[in-house]
Amino acid sequence: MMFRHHYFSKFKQLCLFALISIASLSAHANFISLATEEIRDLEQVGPGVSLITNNATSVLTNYTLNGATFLTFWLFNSDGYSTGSIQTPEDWFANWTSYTSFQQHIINRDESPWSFTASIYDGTTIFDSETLLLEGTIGGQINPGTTDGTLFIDIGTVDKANIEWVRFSVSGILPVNNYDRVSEYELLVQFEDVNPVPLPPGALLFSSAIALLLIRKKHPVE
Amino acid sequence: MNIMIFADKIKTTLYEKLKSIFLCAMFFLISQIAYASTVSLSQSEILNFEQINTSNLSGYTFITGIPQDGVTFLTYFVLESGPNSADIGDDEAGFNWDEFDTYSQSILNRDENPWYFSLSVKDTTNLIASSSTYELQTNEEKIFSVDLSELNSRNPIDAVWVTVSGNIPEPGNDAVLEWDLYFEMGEVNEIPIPGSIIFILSALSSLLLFKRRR
Repeated sequence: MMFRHHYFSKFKQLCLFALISIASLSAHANFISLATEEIRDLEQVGPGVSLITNNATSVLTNYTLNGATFLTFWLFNSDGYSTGSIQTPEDWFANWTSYTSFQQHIINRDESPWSFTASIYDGTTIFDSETLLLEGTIGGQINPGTTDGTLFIDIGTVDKANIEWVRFSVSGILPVNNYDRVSEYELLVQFEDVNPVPLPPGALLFSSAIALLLIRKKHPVE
Repeated sequence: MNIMIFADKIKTTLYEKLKSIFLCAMFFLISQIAYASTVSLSQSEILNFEQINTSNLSGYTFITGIPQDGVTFLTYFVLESGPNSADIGDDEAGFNWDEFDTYSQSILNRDENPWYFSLSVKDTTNLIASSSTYELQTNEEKIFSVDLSELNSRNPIDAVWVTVSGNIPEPGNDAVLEWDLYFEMGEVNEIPIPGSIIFILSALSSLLLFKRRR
């Protein structure tokens, strides 16, 4: 009798452990980031520089370990608020049903400050990240959180099975610093979740822990 | 007798005046010789600049700004590594620089990394005269001068250009360079050393002559 009870307790512990593991996993926010090759395939949006339309030209200038450096520039006759963008190719699409957010690491490699935004299109709506204003750099030095950041989009309300494109935009009031119409930046794969346990999953984790405590109190393990 | 003395006095005065005028003319001529004529391209002439040569095929240059006293250029290299350079200028210049012995232009490095710059001029016999190559730090400005006497002919000038170079990628994966070319000369040495020597010598000799006559 004692023997059976002992095994039942062990089994119960295992079940609880499994439950907690599942709760923890669901509590972790899964995020998606463009892979290195996807970053390197990003293309300029629009026809490029023109004296008539003031369009921006965007060019990939170098590969980096987990991404690439890009250049976006305007000609001398472009003034005021201006935006230039790079985007996933026309034949690109994604199914992100198992993810809760999109995150991409970006570094401002220019000597002037520029603003950056990420956008996702699911076929009906464009979802934008918050705009990051990143300070300029000198000689390739990075000040974490000042010259780099993470572009974050909560994709909870996005039609995640039909992502048609991802776009990154750089903007500024030209000429920046009274002369600058050239922006240099680096896009990289995001490896760490900027928001590891957001509030709703965090609450789930907390609840599971409380529930476990209550169960253990009600049925103490011998 | 008095008339004779008076006439002699007038003659002497006229002779002195004439001599002074002659000396003035001489000093003026010497000053003109001593003055080193420097030429610099105007903004409208710099606006004709375009990329005329690159060390590799993947270098590009555009005009991204027109400040009051010059032109801002962007030069970039795509997927390159190692030493790279680009020549940006006018290869159909056609200038008549017979009256000038120095070509000067000011360059400002706007980029977040240091880059190398030089200035060159080519005559119709394909002889090239160049300035020294200097590395300009971020926001550093320097006047680059080319000695035109090294050329076989100064009329017409065949081509004028700026060479920008660097070892790519510069820190921060940098393959993009922003720079200004100015026509405002600032502190150009308008009287170089040989000219100054002639100028000083002429001043000294005139002083001696004047002292001797008195």
